[in-house]
Amino acid sequence: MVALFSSTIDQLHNGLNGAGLRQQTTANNIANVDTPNYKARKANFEHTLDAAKQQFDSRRTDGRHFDFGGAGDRGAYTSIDRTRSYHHNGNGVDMDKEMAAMANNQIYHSALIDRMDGQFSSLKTALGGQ
Amino acid sequence: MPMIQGPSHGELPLSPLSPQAPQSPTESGQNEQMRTGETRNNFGDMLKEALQGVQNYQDASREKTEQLLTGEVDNLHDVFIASEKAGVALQATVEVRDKVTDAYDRVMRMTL
Repeated sequence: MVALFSSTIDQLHNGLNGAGLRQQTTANNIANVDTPNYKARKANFEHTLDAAKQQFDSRRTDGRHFDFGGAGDRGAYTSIDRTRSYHHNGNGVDMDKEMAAMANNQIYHSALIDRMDGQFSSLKTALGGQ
Repeated sequence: MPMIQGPSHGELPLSPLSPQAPQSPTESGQNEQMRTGETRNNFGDMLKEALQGVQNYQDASREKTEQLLTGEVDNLHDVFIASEKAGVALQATVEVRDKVTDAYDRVMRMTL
């Protein structure tokens, strides 16, 4: 079957999922700014977008060899940064950093939405007859 | 980046109107055939080049979008300029397509 929707649309979809996860993580961090011993979370999803690397198969001649695309199997996840402590109660949330992350993510999200809109309107333009 | 090759007025391979009548029917027929073939070839090439130009814009736009996704892009406006160019090129192509099909319809409806 002919692919009606390009791979770019799927990639944008993944990117938007990741932006959503990052928004949730940042909101969670801000909500827990006063929670004792809470450590800031960080959303990781950029590795899921690198489709080119996932298609690149490594030639393994031994079972102990590593696969290049190994990290690509893992979906979006959040990691905890345990090294930092910004408050005396052991809390690790840097409010300025969280705010900057949120603003950054907002721009990223709206850029992705705009591109998604462009992809769909291109399809509709190509389909529309007279 | 290649531009879309529009039909420039100076380069259209139309043969000029000749005031004198053709000398012999066989010669004129041969000439006509050759000329039509040549025109078709040139027009086909022109169309192919134009479509390739549109495709190049689309490829550039897709590349920029992938860079935006992975955070490699340093200027956001590059992404949107590339995508707008691709969108306008696609729209122009669709307009031409519609005009061509419209012309075909008109010819088919023509009463002889």
